[in-house]
Amino acid sequence: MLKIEGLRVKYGADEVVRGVDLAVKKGECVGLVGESGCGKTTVGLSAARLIDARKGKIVSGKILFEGRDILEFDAEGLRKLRGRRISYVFQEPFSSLNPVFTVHEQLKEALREKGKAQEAISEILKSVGLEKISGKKNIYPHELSGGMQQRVMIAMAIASRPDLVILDEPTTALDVSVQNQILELIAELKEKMNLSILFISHDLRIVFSMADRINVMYAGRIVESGPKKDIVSQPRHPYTKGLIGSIPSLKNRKKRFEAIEGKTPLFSDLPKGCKFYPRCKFRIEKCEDEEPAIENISGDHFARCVRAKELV
Amino acid sequence: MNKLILSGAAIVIFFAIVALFAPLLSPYDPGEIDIENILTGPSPEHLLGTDSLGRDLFSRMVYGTRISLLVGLIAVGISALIGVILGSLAGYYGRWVDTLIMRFVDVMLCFPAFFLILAVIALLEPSIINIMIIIGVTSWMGVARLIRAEILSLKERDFIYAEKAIGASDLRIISRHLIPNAMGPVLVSVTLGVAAAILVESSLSFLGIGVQPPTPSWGNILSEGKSVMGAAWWMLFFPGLAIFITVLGYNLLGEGIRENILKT
Amino acid sequence: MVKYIFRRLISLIPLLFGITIITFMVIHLVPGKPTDMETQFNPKVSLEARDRIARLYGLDKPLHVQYADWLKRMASFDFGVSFVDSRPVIEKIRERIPVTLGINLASIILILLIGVPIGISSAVRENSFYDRSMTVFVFIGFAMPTIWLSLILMDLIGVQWGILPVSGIKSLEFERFSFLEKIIDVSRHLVLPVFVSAFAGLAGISRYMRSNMVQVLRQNYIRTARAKGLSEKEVVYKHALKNALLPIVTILGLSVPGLIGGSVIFESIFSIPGMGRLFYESVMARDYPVIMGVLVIGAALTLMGNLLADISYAAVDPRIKLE
Repeated sequence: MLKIEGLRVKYGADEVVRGVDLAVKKGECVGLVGESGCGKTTVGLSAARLIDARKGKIVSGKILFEGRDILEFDAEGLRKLRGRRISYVFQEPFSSLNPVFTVHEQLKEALREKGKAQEAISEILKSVGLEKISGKKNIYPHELSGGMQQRVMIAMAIASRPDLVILDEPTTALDVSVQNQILELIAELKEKMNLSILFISHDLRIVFSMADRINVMYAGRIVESGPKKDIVSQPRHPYTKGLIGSIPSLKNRKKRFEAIEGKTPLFSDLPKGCKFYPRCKFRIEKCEDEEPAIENISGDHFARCVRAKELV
Repeated sequence: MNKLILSGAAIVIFFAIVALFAPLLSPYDPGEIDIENILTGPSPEHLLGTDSLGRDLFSRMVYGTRISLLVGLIAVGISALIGVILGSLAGYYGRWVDTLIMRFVDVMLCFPAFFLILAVIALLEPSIINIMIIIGVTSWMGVARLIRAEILSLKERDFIYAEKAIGASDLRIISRHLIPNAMGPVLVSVTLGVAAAILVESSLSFLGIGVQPPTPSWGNILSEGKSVMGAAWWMLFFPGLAIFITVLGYNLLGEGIRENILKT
Repeated sequence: MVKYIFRRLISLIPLLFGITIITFMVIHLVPGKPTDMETQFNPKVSLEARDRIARLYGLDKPLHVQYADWLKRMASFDFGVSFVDSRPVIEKIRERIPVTLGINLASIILILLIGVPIGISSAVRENSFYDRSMTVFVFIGFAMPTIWLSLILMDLIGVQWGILPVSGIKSLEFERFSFLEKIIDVSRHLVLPVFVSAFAGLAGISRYMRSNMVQVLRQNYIRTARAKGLSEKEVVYKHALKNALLPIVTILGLSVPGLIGGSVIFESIFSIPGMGRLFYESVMARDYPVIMGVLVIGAALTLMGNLLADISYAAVDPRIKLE
């Protein structure tokens, strides 16, 4: 369905996506996880060609949607792609909804067929759990709570029955109690509509609960990729291990919660060899000079670490 | 530095030099009447031509620069002084002091400034000193608001608490710490204010209630120019051009400072 | 909404008081009394007139009594009578207001019609050659002295080329014209004044509109609109424009005092019988009652402009409606 190959994106002089390969198959939920500033949002935005042209530029690579490279689409082709085939749910629902148009109006724009809009909108609002406002035409975004706003965003994203939905930190800006409701809604809609999903999050726990496949991103590159069960049970990249270790309750309750030491490197000042080297607990001399290639571990499981095979 | 600041500063410095060295630069006495050469166009003897009394326009313009800049700078000085004092009082003391002063600002802003200036002039003699004071007294509101806003945000910073803790007086805190820290936006506002004051002065002088002839000012030369319209284009063109370029210079400088030094 | 308007009206009361106090202070605290000025500068004013002024301002009574009396008369729009022709001040002002408001309204419309599109197109093409040229134009507009622009246009278009009339608002033979000719005649007279009064404001509005639009175009909801598959036209002219346009209403309200103040200049230059020219003539003649009257009315008009702007803003912005 979606296949990204060798994607490179530059913001000014900084290359923030440095050759990313990623695939989402029909009906699959693929997680993309990493610390903030690792380039994961940029990958998501690239997939719908939504990078602000004033700030950043896709330098090279391919983004194949059903076999066609969307980097070669013209404005009209993109317009038809966005919303109808690929839709997007952003992180902050409040700033992502236009404050001066009604919810009704904004939903209507997302519909593929404009006939019988009123009924279709009520239907969609009900399906995202907004029965309360499904009959009301004059609701503005600021009158809704954060959770409800995100439901509206989701409603907009599924309104035209897209094939792929990109969810960029859909619950990060919400209260913890609301987070789970939204995640449940997403899971439910995915089943019902057989959606393909690219789920972007910094929170590995949420990605574990949602995704079938997981990609771990660090400093602009995928460092580990594989089916959820492999990543959970046998993480090979030290960074993935660190991320899992920093989840307090997942593996072992008694084990002390450990955050990864050090800071994410700046894109303007990346280490020469493995980008994770300065923070890595398992580093060896070789890591400092050369960034390792991504290697197959087993089946569908890949990792970008020279010691991937020995670190079980 | 960038183009805005450089071009603005170049213009400002140019006119400042002209004003400073007016006696050296002007080939004639600005008041010297020459009935033989009434309303002659620009020529090698009279670079910018002569006016209806045969006075050399170039010399009058050069001396006019002095008047216009002086009025502009002093008027803005007065307005900045009032604005900084009232603004910092309002920002620092808050409560009823703040309410009172800011209400006063609101009321002052209700008057079309030019109306207020004209009304006061109707009572006073239109002398250069009075013009400066009147422009200053009617244009301080923007500075007051700026200073107040800056001080409100600075007041809660640690170094102010530290000062208070060692027992510094209010006056010292305001004058040594708050005002200097709030000066950035005021500098922009003052630079733009000079441009506005020069425009007001020239309008007043043009209307005959500003700088009074025979003292030359760009505005009252324009006024003479109007009375000989159609016969002496140079009397209209050059003084207006001087006002335009000077105002442009201060505007460029002010915007340049805002964009490049304050980064807002 | 009604409640909002009511609350705004209440908040005007202290401002109105402030306006009257300042006007009163201008009369009394500035050195030199109106009575002196009258007799010194205007030989036409007789001793009788001087007495009348003294009585009008109650100059023999204590200050607070004077103020209270004056306020009472002000409340019934009694500004006294003009020194020049002994007509009631309010009547003189009333017949001059429509011309001034008309020209200012026309220039506001012109400003919006030209300034808003310039601002939008610059923002959409941020940092392009077009955008930069427009920035240069804006700087020129800000620095252009109204007087100079008026005089040059007058000299070229009116005097040298004779294309448009340059004085007054109607021709001498106006009364003999047909209705249509009258309209054309007045319009021809107003072209230059309206253009001149719009010029400076144009720079301000296009610049404001540009920075607004640039800011709005960076908002997340614009990205959402694109992600929905809306065309660039819909994104810019529907989603961005409405957000960028709303604050313009407020700016228009704030520009009222500047426009009214500026009317003194272009009305004097073009000999237009409006409030600005009346004010100027009164200042030259030291016609005190008229000066005070125009001052108060001018401030009141500003207040009304601001009030109108606030109310329209509340009416168009959904976020304010419910507060």
